[in-house]
Amino acid sequence: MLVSIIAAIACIGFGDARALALPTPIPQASQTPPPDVSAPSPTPLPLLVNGQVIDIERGFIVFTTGDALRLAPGAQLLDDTSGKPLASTPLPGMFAAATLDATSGLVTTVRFSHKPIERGTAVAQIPRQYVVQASTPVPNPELAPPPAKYHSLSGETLVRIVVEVPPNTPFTDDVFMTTDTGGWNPQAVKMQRQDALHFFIELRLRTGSEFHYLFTRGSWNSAERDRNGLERAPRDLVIEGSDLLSIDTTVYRWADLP
Amino acid sequence: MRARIAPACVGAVVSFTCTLLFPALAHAAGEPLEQHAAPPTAAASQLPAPIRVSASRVEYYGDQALIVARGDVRLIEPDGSVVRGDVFVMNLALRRLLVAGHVSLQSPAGEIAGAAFADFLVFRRQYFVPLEPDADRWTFFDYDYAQPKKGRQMPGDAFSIPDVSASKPYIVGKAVTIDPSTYLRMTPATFVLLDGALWTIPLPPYTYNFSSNPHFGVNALPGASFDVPYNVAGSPVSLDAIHFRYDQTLPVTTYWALEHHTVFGQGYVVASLSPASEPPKQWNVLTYDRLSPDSALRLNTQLFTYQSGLSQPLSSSGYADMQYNQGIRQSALLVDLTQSYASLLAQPALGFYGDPSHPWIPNHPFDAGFQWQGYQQHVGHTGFAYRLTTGYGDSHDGYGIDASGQQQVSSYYGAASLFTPTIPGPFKTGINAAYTITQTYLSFPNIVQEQITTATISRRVTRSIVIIGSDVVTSATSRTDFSIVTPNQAMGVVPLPNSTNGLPVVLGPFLRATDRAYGLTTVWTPSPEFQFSMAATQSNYSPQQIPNLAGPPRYQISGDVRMRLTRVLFLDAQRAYFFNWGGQTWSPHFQILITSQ
Repeated sequence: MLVSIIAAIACIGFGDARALALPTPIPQASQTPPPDVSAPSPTPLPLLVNGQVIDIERGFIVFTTGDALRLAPGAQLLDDTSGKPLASTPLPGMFAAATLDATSGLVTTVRFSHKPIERGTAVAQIPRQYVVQASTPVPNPELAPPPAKYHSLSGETLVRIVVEVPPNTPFTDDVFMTTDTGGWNPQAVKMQRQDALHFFIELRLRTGSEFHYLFTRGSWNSAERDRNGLERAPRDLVIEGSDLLSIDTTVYRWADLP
Repeated sequence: MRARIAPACVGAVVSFTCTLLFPALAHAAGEPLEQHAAPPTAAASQLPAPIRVSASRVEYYGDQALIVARGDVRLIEPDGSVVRGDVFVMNLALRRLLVAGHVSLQSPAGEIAGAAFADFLVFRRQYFVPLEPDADRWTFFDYDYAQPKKGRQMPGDAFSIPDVSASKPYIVGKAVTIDPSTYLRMTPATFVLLDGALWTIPLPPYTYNFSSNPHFGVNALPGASFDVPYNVAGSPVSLDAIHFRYDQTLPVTTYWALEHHTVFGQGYVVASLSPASEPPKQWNVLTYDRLSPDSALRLNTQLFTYQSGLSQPLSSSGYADMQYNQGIRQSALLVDLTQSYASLLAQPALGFYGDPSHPWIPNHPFDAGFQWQGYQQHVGHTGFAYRLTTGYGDSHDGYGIDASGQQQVSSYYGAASLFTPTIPGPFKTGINAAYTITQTYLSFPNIVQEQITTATISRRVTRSIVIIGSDVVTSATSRTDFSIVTPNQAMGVVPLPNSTNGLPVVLGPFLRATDRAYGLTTVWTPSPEFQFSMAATQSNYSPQQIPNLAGPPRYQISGDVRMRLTRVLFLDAQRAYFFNWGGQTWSPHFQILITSQ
């Protein structure tokens, strides 16, 4: 800070107009340096690393993150439930808790389970010095943050679709929705009548999924058409991350009615 | 087996229509994405295909859009490279695949061993974890295995393996061919039904089509009470199926049929033969092509033969119907040409083939119709709307048109419709009405008029209950019982198969008739998992309501219930009761539809 002040005074003294634009130095709070994850503690303790395993061979255990850890000679492979040695080679997709000797960087014991193991540190969070990677890491500019619409992929969204049908739709006819997820069965989803001109349906669909749909009166001969009587492209619905999605749409014509 | 299989639970006495649609959520979401790659470029929009996988066991999970293979996995990539490993996983929704465990990658660049291989098909990126000489991360661009991008950061979920332990597969086999945007073909195909309770024996290769192109769903087969399609072959642009069918209206109720789909651009060709196993055969071909954003051409042909196998038919008839649609300013034109043949065979010496049921009929009418259809237009700012239609038709047959004896008949027609908006009524109700009048002048001469008036009043009682009252009046007059019988939709007469004589159906055996139907419908939808509706209708038909001959049943009650069976399957059952009208109590058709959403 002192250097900045001196520099500013010096600039003013030399009549440099730019000096007037210099901001007033703001005192900065001293920051605690982040923990150096690459530096092991002076007295390293064994690390317990958990994750889903895709392979264990050639002296490595590799997790679904792509991280490979080196196995110690004679590393024990145990069943997490019984604590006994595994009877067979673990299959890709099993979950594991690996005990990593922080001094040698080798995995000494691995306990396997068919269910996720919460103990320890996720493999993506461990100091990178233990992860074996022959090449120098190179950033990937293609990787981008996820689109907002996929934020809650795990949930379901209540989708309410209301369709207005042509006034000449026979009152006694049913209206259906045909979708690609239903194999384009013309009677896949039956709409509920709301009044003379409107039908509706409420569906619980997986958030993040996408489907295409059209309306019919029960067969492809009575499928909807565009205003000119031509076959219309299917509607495209992406179930975005929200609790309720409401769709209002219109059928202009039916194939079998003028 | 993709679409319709009947449960064996329906009573033998009751005829039924039964459809079971298996889980088919091909576009359900997959694993959560930790990171996304940039959007695909236009050049990358064409997905690499096909992908071939063989293993000790291959499973397709329809509700998760997943293919999982285990044991001696051998994957042939679209470029011909071979990847071996312990486990294969493909997410059809995300269009990506993974081979994990003791992986070897054989490509023109050589063979390398590793822990896992992933291919993001949309982005044409291959990710690999080699283990020799040391563990590393390699990325390949567009299957160029000679130039690995070593150390390049990978998507965080590139090698994630979904947990399917709580799910039941839909199809199980030993090999699968996959086109990520259209189909998969499992060989052999064992189907897992009723949530794992029933496994079929291994069946011949089955093609499961999950394309977003609806033209694969176009149906060219005639109706049947019960239909089980089995897709025997397929490609990105075609689908072939054998249909095992039951139809109570045919002399031989159980038979099989064939159907073929070809899709191209914005068009399709769908051909069918039904029954294929019985002498009375119906051959259908439906073609459609979108010529421009505002025009399309459609050609429908039907051929009816009576023949054993592919032997010389005893009788043959058919028609070809070509439609041209053109959108113009605020309206559309339809040109419809139909050529029909009552007999396509040469006249036999005896006049018929030794069997009076196969007569030789010389008629071969040609029908040409031209129709103008206006868009729905609003009447100022009143909320009312109207629509106009008019057209001209001409039918020619050197042997006489139907029973008229005339060689040429013309038709002029016009139709007008008036629609009200939803008008607020008493007690928070909404009232709608629609009126349509159609008048056709035939040069027989004859004048046919039909009027339909529909009025409804509806009220949402609670959030889950809607009540609708309706009054539908349908009346028609005809000076004679002459009309033109044709499938042509632009002639101004009621086309086949809606009417078998070209006259409005409400006429029945009369030349003047009116049907007035009062209805009360209740819809109860407590949740998306359960929907119930019930409708009561009283019909008053004049001049005389005769059971099974003139007019609908006097009273009827119909019910429809739809409920969730499993996470993806719904049951829809409906039936009607006719109060002993002409001896009719329950409706002959008891429909059960089991479908996925």
